[in-house]
Amino acid sequence: MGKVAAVLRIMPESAEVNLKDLEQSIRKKVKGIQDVATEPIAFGLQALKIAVVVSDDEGGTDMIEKALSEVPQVGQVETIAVNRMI
Amino acid sequence: MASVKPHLNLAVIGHIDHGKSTTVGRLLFETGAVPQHVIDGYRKEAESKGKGSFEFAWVMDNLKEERDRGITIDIAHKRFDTAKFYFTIVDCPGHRDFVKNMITGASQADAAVLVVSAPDGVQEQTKEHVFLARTLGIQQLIIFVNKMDSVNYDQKKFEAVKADITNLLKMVAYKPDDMLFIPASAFQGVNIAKKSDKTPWYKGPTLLEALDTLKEPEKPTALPLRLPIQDVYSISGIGTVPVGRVETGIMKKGMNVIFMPANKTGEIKSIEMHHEEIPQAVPGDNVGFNVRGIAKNDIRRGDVLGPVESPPAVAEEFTAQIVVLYHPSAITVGYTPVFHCHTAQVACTITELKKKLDPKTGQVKEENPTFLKTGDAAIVVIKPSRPMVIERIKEIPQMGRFAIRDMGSTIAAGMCIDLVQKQLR
Repeated sequence: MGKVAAVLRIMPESAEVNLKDLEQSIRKKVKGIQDVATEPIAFGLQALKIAVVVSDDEGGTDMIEKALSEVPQVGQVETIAVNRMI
Repeated sequence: MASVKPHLNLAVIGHIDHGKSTTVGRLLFETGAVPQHVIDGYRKEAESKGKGSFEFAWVMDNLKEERDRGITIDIAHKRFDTAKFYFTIVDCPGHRDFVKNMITGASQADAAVLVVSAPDGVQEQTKEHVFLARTLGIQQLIIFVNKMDSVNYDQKKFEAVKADITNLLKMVAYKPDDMLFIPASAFQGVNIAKKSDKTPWYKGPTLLEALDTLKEPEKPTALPLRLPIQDVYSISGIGTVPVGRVETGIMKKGMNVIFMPANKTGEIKSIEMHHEEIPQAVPGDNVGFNVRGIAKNDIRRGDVLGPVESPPAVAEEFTAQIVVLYHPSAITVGYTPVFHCHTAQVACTITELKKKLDPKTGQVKEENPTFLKTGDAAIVVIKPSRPMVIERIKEIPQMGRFAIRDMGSTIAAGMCIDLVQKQLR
């Protein structure tokens, strides 16, 4: 099976959440995160964007979405792009 | 990489093993989009070992190795240029469980290359992907009949495969007569950048020429405003701030808006994107906005914002065309899986199986079938368990698509073709 590069956007629970701390807890919970960036949204609210590689297999990005949603202070988790890797 | 050329997202679709990766690799290679260090590495190795004829195979291997070195958010994308456009490749994963991401995700494809292997012809995933392309609203398709080297560039074989694909395309109301079919070999580089003497009977364009016949899609700004809510925040000093991506229409400061199915009205006070205030937001913009007259708990994810004069449609029930991608047994009336439509997730019951369609001809195969199974395409009637916004695919295509999920699997994909509107006021 091939590999899929996925980019997910993680919205914090509130605008007051410290994104540095949130990134730490996310990295602790989910292994294999290859890149993290913050994305400014609006009115001081920021989101985290992460890049991960998952296998082109049963379940898609479900497991990782679920794991991320369970991290404290995480609001919505959304897969914004999936791309097969050569 | 600055470019003044118009940009298109290009999906590469087709059955597993029909050569999608090789086709993508060949496109990157022929357009000079392979990273320079990979080419340099090849030159070095070719000089030391004295082999020159396997350049493409070598480059493919090295692109494969590249992925193992890790990705960044930016290079999760593959880009290349033609004479007229610059393209980002949307290389769709093969597993059906990614269908939800493709339907609700951000990277909408503007056009697609359908890769079909000449020796194998139309296969299960070819059918699925054609239906998905249609559901995803991809209007422009180029049909790349690959692996012609395996059938000795036989014109008869090409015509036979072309006829099968033509029937398949007609079934989902594509117009195959307006589409380009290219006999090619990604592996041998035939009819990609250069015409080949191996297909003297073929008078059409190469793949790169075909890509330059595509049209740049217009942003759907003429349609009524639709913005599905991703999340709602209460920000101190500002007030209620919903967040989401504009799908259609234009959102302007001062506009009177309504959230459906919440049935709450408000006025747009200000709009921000990337922390900067903007006077209006257009399709594709990810924005946060402040609304007067709405409390945080009045609305939630899955609600859709529209103008008061043209509110989003809330469906009492709707009729849809679906394709069953996978179901362990059979789908019958009463089945109630979860529908993923824009940002909404709503359990819906299938209340009627109207017609089963023949994937080969597009004709009705059976009226009122008793069940549907994997691979079936059908027209069904659906009743949401709670109010949800969905629009007719003909009116607002961006709001008419959905994926059906059950027990952690993607069961089907579909589009709304008609609906009975719920009266809320």
